[in-house]
Amino acid sequence: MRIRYVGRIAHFKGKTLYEIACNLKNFGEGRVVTRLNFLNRYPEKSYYRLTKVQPDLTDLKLREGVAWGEKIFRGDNLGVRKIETGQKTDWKLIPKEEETDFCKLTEKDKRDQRIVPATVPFPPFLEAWLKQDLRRKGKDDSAPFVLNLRIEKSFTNRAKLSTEQ
Amino acid sequence: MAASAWKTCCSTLKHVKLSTKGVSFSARRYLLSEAYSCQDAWKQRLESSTLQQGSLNEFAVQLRERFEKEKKASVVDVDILANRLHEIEVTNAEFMEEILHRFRRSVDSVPVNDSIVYAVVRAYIDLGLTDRLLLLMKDKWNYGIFPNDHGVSVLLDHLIKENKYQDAAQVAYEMMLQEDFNHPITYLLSLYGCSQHYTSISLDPPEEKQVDPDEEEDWIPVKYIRFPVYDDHFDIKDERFLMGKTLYMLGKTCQDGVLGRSLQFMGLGMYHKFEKAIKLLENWEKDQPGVLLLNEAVVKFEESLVKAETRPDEEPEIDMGLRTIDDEIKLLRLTADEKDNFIQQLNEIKSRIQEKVKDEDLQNMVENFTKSQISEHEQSDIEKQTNLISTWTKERETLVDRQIWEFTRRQKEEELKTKLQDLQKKEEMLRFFELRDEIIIAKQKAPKVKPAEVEEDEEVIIAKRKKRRQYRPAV
Repeated sequence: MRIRYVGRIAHFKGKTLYEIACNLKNFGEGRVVTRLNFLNRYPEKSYYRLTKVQPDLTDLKLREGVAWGEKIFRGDNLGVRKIETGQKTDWKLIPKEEETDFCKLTEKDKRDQRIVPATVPFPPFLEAWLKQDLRRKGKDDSAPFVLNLRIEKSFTNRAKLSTEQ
Repeated sequence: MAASAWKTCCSTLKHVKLSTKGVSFSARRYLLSEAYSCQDAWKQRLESSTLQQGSLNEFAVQLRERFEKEKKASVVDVDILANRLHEIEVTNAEFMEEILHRFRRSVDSVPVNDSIVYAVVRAYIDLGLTDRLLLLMKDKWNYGIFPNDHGVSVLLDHLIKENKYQDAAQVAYEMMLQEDFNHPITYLLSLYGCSQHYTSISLDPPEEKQVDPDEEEDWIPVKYIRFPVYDDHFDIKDERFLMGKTLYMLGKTCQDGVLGRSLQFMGLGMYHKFEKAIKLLENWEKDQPGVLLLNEAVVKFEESLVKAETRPDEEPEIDMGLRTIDDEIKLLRLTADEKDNFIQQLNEIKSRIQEKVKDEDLQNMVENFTKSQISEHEQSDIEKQTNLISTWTKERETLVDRQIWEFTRRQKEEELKTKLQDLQKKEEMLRFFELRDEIIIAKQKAPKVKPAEVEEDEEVIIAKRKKRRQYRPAV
């Protein structure tokens, strides 16, 4: 009897990190893995070099566990971090043969520095209103109305203000 | 008369099988010396007190019960079981494997304990259960048997001595999947095992199951249909591909140039990566002077290429619900045009490199190569393994002592608790009239616990159950 599965089609086309790790000695310490989504989405290279993997072998679907690895994301080495997305079926193991070629970061993998202006004009209607208000009060309305931009810095958002160095 | 007698003698001798178990002939092939398996050090571990207590079968049964009740058992207990596995009867092997499986599915199995794995491998070799051991090694999720270098070398040596070259090749495939041929002795032994076995693998494509489109389908509802992934490494099922990939990996690190190149070329042919192989050959033609390959490698490559199965150029996409991993494997096959192209390229190259091809037997070359190199690396291994065995024994003893200490501590704690409760009861009894008011207040403040009413009449129980189920929502 042929089996036909009926249901929603999964979005990812890979294996979970722990399915890959269970097949390897030491659960894949020192091996390079990537996420297929990162390879498709970004032109720069992203991969993880695993340092420690602890799958939860009591789970029958091999989706649970914890892992740590050196994260190279879009060409930037972000150091050893915890891998929280091991349960996504999106992972791919890089064979040792292709490791050196794959991990070479070239000029193409440099992410352009995003420089953002330090100030930004006010929304036009609000600006007009405030100017009208100032004129009514008899104050000077010639000074430019600008908003100071503040960047939420995190390990993925490294944009810079144009006034910064 | 004499001729006919001689004839009958020969014909009877043909049917007589000489049992060679346990008897050492000097003509048999010994690759590793006797001292390599460290039998003395391995037997010495049994003298420690932790491995001498009581009957193994009772211990195993107790462990199994503990797994059922608590879903976990301490690593030391499984370690002791593994180290005493060589005492079991062969019929009990399944029971012991169940315990190992349950241990693997418990919380304590991560990180994997090397001493347990090594002990299991040695025990199974001593019991002669290498077939079962291979099945355990292949099922990595459920058992996780990844032996260290010394364990693998001992296993390979044992299989080669017994002339079980197919099993030795299976072990070599496992090492290939780990992409780990760094250890020299493991490398040489797997090379030897594969070279003796590759001729018995037929290069014909395996039989394909005919798909009947009118066949009744079994519809199974699932939440999400997962995409069948063929990663061309752990998912390889075809033995030709496994052998091919192993030979390619072995050939890459081979110090002998001609042998290495021949293994790589032949391996890539068996693995059906023809484009890569032809490119490699063209590079060698440019760079390497002198002899390039063995004739046998080219012949085998051509045979694999001619027998390679093809896929039609354009096939309709199969529905996601019906797609299996075999369909993904089919997508990696050659088309008919590509196949003709490669055959043409191969013929061109063959005509160019006719002088650079040597005609020598691959198996002989491998045998000479292994025998010349293997004895150099033995001594360091023996020392390392004897040290490891003694550290494992010491660790086991310290852990057992600690376990006993914790057990006695828990027992004393419980004793103290029961003593305290007894004392409290006695105090209540003796000082009742003095503390009467306080006892009444405490009784009022205490939480009201109704004792459970157990209905003993069976008819009443059944009637109540029916009434409960009457009002269940329809599923």
